[in-house]
Amino acid sequence: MIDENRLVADLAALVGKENVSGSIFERMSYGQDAAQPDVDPEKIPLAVAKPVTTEGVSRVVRYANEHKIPVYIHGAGTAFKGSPKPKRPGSILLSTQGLTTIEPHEEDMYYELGAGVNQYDLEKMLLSRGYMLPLTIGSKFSSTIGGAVAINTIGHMVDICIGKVIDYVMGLEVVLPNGEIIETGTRSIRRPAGIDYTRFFAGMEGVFGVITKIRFRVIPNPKKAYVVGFFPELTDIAHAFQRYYREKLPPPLYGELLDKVAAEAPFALRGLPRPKGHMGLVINISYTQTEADRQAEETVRVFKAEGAIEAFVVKSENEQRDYWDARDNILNILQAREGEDRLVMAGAVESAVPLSHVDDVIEYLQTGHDYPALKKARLFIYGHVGTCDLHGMWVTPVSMALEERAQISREAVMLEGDINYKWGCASGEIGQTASRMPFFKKRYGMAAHGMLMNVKRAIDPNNILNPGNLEGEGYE
Amino acid sequence: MNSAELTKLEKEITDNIQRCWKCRMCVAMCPTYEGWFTQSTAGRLMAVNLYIKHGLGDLAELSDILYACTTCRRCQERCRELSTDCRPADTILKARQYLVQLAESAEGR
Repeated sequence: MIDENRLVADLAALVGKENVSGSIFERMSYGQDAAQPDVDPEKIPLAVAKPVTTEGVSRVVRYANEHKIPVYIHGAGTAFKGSPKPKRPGSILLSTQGLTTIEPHEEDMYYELGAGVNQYDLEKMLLSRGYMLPLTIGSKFSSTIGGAVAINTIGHMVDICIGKVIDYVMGLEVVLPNGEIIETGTRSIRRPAGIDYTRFFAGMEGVFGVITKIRFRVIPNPKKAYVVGFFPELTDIAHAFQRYYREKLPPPLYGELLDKVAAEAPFALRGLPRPKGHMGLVINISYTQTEADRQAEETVRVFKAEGAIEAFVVKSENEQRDYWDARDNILNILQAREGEDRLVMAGAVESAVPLSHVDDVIEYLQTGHDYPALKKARLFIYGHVGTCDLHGMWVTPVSMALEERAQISREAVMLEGDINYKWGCASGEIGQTASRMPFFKKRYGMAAHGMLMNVKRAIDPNNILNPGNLEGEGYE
Repeated sequence: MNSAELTKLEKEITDNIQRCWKCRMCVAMCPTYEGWFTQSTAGRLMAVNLYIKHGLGDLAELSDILYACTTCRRCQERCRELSTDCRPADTILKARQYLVQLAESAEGR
């Protein structure tokens, strides 16, 4: 393994000493993402490099390739399933947060964005120009556009309304594992037909290259209408969305679900009345307010037809914000208490399931499985039901022993795999590698996984970029 | 302070940090943040956690990291508004207290 002092000095020569750190506290902070468990102390990276230019990224990757040093690519470190966390000792943590250029090309309907541009800053800038950001990720206050493109996620939005992020990526600038810089795609709003190199990188979780710049198509900001409904059973909300799509109504931008108990803390925080049932929330959109409002009335009708205790269009902008924030800032649900004890998340699942089985999966999460540790924890269900993406979060008092919590975490991972396998589906929001690889291999088979590994070997023969993520190391 | 009291303080700190989701929404808004995580609330919490749980890192560097906090408490408000309310500013103050007690213990007071 390379000497860490030499590595830090070499990287400083490549990208400037102000853009490199060898501090163990810094290295550990960058090596840790939002996923449990904490980074293994043996695998804390040897150095953090934060180049501020594509050429700097190229120099770091070329150096790593020549010295066969693992490189873990880091946007903001908000991933949920362990992908930016080092799996092998002796690595470089390569942050793209320093790539923050923004170049408008509105005459051609795009912006060129450095991979490190913050999503919230980008959203504010686009809104000020009359555009929307076609993704809403829970961690948008900290996460980067490069991270969203690397995972190809739109977070909470409804895919069949707005598409995936890749639908807005006209092209990319990418640093290959040997350090070469390539450009993909086009400057036209029409994407290439046939071979499109963008697809080798958008959604590939950094295993084939480092995305440094994104040519991002803009979309006009639509008019919105908000609907909230409260239901006796969570499955009623599933039935409402099944009916909504069966009636061939236009897909909403958002279709959210939050169970009643989970809603209580976020509602109280915002001074909203105690929820009368499980909450369904829809944001309908159109390019006229009249049409958005008409769609919202249809949503209210569908909610009532499926047994809503109450369903209404939310007109007040303050109430629109409060209901939306109560769902959007989902970590607020952990402000609930169990007696005097505070709660922590012990395990979580996320799966985008077939429309006709959303109700079945809700019941399976609640009572249909046989995992004993999960049954001991309190379950909060929420999700983007308009796009059939469900989340389950098992919470426990902070006083519960760490090993008990670790067992809940393990069982949640197994349950997630069971759901995806049983209903033939996959994650729709937070990626497929790292902790999800055991399921991925089972779901698609070893022939498919072998194909992926062969492509990886062809593009990255020294396995420099995010090694261990495709292998599922640490999550066997 | 005896070792039982230090252990209790360590537990209070790490219990709070366990409630931190590492969502990092407290990073960019921290007035001392200039591009590196340890210049922000989330980085400070992860640093003290690493020291307590694994005994890694230099105490003087950890002290610099923790005492660079201005205690403006914006992170505490943001955590309550957007995240889990893990009381980050209170935890940093407690971690400073921990450093003082460690130093006093080492000096045999």
